[in-house]
Amino acid sequence: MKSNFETDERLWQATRLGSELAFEALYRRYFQILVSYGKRIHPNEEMVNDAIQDLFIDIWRTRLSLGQAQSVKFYLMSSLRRRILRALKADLSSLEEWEELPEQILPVEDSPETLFAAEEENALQNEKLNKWLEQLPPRQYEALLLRYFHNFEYAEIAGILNIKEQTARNLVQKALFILRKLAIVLIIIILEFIF
Amino acid sequence: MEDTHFRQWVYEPDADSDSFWEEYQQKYPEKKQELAIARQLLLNLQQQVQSGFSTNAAEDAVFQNIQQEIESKPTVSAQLFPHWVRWAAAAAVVLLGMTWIFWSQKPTHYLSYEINRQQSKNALVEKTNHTSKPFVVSLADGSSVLLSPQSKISYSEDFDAGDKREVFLSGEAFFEVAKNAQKPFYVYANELVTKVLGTSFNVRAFSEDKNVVVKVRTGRVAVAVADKIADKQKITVRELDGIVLLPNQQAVLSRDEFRLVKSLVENPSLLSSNTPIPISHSFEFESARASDVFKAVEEAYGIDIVFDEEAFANCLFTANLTDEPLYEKLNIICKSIEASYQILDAQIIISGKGCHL
Repeated sequence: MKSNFETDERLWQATRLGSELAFEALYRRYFQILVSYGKRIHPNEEMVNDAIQDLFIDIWRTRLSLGQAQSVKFYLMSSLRRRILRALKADLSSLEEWEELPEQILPVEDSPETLFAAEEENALQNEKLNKWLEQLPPRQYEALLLRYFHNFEYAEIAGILNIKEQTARNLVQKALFILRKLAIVLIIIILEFIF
Repeated sequence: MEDTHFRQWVYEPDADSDSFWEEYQQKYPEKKQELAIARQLLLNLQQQVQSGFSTNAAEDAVFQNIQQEIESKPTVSAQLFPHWVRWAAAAAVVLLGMTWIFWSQKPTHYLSYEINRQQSKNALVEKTNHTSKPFVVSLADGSSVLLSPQSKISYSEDFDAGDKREVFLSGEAFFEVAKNAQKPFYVYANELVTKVLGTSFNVRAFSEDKNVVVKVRTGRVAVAVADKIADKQKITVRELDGIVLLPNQQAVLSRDEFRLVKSLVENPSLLSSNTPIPISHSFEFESARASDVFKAVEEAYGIDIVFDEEAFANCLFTANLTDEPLYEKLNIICKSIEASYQILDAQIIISGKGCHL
């Protein structure tokens, strides 16, 4: 399909000019990414879907007053995040003080040493790494994802998370620091396997 | 991990990046371990994002909800602009599965304003422009018609009451149609029927003219030969089913042969000048790649430009084309990169040998 070769910016502009085709292409390009991202902020998929739905409805309704987005992805992800948090605030019962979670701890049900005390199979290592990622403090993990998977600049991450740019850098650095320490253990194990 | 190219290689490897990072590792063996860790981390991130993906069914379901919402309620924003401008600029509705509802009385070869008028069951209001300047006719649904001299239109007294909005035209007029998906807007002009949901366009259909011409300014418009034409053998399915026009495109119906031809309008206008929000397009190029230049033009006018990206990869272009009209811009660009252009249907085709550095 031709739309796959259209840049975000062109789709965005065409949407502003009223192209429903471009609008749908934009939606289809980002739906899965947004669901996945939204579920990190709040695990209720239905609620995330609703937020995505409202986000796109509003984009269409207000398209004439929308500007030329600097980064479409940035706009979509930061808007979605705001919407989900707003919805959570409205529903106090389910409000977890997500933003207030302490940064320094990495939950330690298994320390890296014990993880690799016994010999692990290769496939399992992958699983462990995933587990470590999930155990990162949520904000660090989110910053890490935004930086290294979604390719956002630190300034953009700061915009999305509503924090200072330096704080965004720190979050990513801290996460990396923890993961490096863990991963070196992992690599040593791998190397021991090979040699 | 901070390196964009590295991340791109991990997520979307290709032959080039494969060999680059292979060499890199051979050159700097001490980095090998670090790279392995970084790569594994990135892959895990990707895996985690993908594990959060939803089903295609959910994707479709949410989009259906969006579409329903969009179609059921009007736009609320952009209060800055008068009602009809908002709607007129909107448009771009996919006109699929259109039906041309037409009565059929006694078949004739040519349809005139008078014959078209007879199909209306309602009492009609008629406006005629006897002056030498165009004037605006406002319709009850919020649409407006800029009626040219020596032209007339008629429409139902209860214009907004029925399930469709119908206007009969003799001569020339420019329409800005208020969007209403429930009530399609039809313009009957000689043998040509134009159907829109909301957009702006021009119809020229003087009874003595050889052609009927529809030019689109914004949105999408469908045009077709009227069902009522007797001599169906002459008319192909395409003409009866209609063709869809985009901004800066026109359809010309030759009334003798019943051929409907799609082409570009004489002087394509910048898309931004057709919309209430001006979008600034820069036409100042300095050592710009030819492909970027063509893309800028393509985007600004909403016209497809077909060119061989590879052949023109080495062509660089420097000029300021801000004030030239479209065809002048193309002339200047083509001259400087030793190419030529032709207009085929509603596309611009660029051909040439390309440039050598």
